[in-house]
Amino acid sequence: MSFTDPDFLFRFLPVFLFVFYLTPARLRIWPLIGGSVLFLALGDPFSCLILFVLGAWNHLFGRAAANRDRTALVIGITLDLAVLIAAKTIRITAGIDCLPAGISFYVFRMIWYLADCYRGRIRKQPQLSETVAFFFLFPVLPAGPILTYRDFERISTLGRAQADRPRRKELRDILVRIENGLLLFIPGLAAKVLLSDHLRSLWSTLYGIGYESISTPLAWLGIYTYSMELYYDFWGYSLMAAGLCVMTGLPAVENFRHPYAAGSVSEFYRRWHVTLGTFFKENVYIPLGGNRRGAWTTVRNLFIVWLLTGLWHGFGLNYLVWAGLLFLMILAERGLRARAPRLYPVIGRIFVLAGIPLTWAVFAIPDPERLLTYFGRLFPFAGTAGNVYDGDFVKYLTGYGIYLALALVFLVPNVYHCFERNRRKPFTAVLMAALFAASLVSLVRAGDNPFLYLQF
Amino acid sequence: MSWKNACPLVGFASMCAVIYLLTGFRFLSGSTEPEEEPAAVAQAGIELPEPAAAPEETSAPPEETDPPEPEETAETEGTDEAQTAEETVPELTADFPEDDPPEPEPVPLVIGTAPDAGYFADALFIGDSRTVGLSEYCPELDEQATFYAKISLTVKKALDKPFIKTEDGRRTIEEMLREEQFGKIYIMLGINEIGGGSTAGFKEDYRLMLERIREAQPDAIIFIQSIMHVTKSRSDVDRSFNNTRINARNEALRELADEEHRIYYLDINEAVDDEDGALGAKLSFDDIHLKAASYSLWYEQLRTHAAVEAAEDGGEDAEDGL
Repeated sequence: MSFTDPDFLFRFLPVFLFVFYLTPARLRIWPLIGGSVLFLALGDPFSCLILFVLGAWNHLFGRAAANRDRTALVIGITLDLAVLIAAKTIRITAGIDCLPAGISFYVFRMIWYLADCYRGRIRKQPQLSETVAFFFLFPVLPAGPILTYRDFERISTLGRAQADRPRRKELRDILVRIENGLLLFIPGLAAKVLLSDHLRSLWSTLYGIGYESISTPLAWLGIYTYSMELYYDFWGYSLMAAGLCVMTGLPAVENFRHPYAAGSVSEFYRRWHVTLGTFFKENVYIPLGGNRRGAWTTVRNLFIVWLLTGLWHGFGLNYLVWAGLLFLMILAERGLRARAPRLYPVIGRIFVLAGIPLTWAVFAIPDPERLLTYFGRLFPFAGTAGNVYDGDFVKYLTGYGIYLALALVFLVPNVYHCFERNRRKPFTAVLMAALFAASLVSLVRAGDNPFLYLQF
Repeated sequence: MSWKNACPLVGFASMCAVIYLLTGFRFLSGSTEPEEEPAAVAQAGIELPEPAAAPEETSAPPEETDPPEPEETAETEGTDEAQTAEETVPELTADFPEDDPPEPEPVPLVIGTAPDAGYFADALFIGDSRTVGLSEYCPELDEQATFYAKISLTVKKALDKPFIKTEDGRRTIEEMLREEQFGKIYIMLGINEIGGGSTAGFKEDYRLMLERIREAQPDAIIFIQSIMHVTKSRSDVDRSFNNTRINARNEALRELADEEHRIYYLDINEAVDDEDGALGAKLSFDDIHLKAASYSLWYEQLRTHAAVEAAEDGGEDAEDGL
């Protein structure tokens, strides 16, 4: 089930919240587990079983790792990685999805959990029910963010702390939580449905035309469109997940910090998919020595991190090329920062505003031949092979102008900060309702009703 | 937090409730709109979103009742410029060959190869996004012919949607047809409504549309182009957009042909089908539309299936001349 599914919005979520908050605080872990399992089982019952087995053994290894048992840590992590690699390999070779889509997210959560247990960063060693609740947690199940157990521990709605609060105050707290959650969830929904989905249809239109037949301006429009589509899709999803976390009393995990405002590629990736970056930093980069053991070790560590990042996204060659390009740009930036500090900010911006969209093209097009065709259109030195319609750029720019313009506006951090500052104003409530309504209309029209779905 | 601060929340909640009441019923009641084949529709509802979100859809899929948004008609803009420039051309030609002999019985026609590219100068193309694609990626036609094509056009609404941009604002196809006579009118419609209604109803709508076109264009040669297939991979998984349904509708269209009255059925699928009787997988990236480089196949089929005067007797010979 997806968060944009009307069944989720209008059936699952209200019923879940109702049951969750109606249950006494000390028992609330059970509706949390039940709801999460149901969420997963509705889409894919078989994977529930696998996830439960995975969760149970990570729970056991976590206990052992907490006692500074290094072997348990290594075996646990190896098993987790083996499952992840096996699942990805089977998907590629046999084309079978034997595990649900979010597997790379929750396997990483499990690894992080073991590492935190080992390093003693977890306050209280959890019960089985708590680890299961953590591993199944539905807000972060399909597409992250990669929540740590340290954050999960901070959940404010479970356990005894809540039990002796006056009823009236508790009801108010619940409403505030839900309001705060909605203030994250609805912008996320809107980013996904109103921006990303429309931009995606432009990107797929280019695919439908055939890359050999798009004009050079359209090819450039295409990579910027894809860059923003990916951003709003992922950011929107992360906001929705954060909103759901807040509604259940978890802290909001920030996964994106306005990456396109970054001044360099290295900064971009400290702002993009923050939880994945933090995962690699904490569990790979720093343990390997980070940047404190000389230049060559730093380069090696960066290389390893980017190699793993590429592999994490998929086993395709294009992901490795994508990660390789980023690694090279980051290296170049390090060199520049040391040798040409005045040039560094300029080059850094160019890398972010032109280099990153180009790397997204590599990311987006798995087929090497098509990728070359696309780059041939971006840089048309070799001329044209297909028949190009010269009016295509103007046509799609006018057709999608409003979405492209809005997408550009919301790249500016201050726009979102302005919303955050004014989130308590009545006007925001009206805006949220309007956004929600617009998202629903868009969902219904574009979504699953073939009769409202005239498109050809 | 005081209750005063909760005002936005209360306001928000009530607005949500209103929205829920207004739109939520649709979700709760499920898709009950289809008049028939409810099973197929429910299934399609589940299967569609992913693949179908992809193809050439300009932003919000336009709904009938909508005020025309700029992007909706973006499709026609490119052709419009060309079109306004060319509008005079068909008029001129219409004056000479078509209008001059209005009284004498029409010369008998045969289907053969068009004598030259000028054959399409007095041709009009009516269609949906596929025809929009033809106008964009077939320069030979776009330079000659007029296109009244728009994304998501359906047979029922084709003549009445004011989407053609002129100096006097947006006009419908019917209004344009009353103002200007064309020699040939090519129609390809039917993919958008393939998921709904019955074949008989579709045929009747199509027949009514042809009647109205004929009324406005008494002398034009009308070509009913077959609805183009979708690829096998799409056809196999889609309960709505599949070739079984398309073939049934095409059979109905074939029956509408009336050569005595210069209404011809023109099978385009001959030119683009693979051995499975589906749109060739290599011709399309999105399984529904031809990719840009493949539109020439469609053009070739049109060019080699032109209605030429029997007296000329030279369809085949003329081909060599090209």
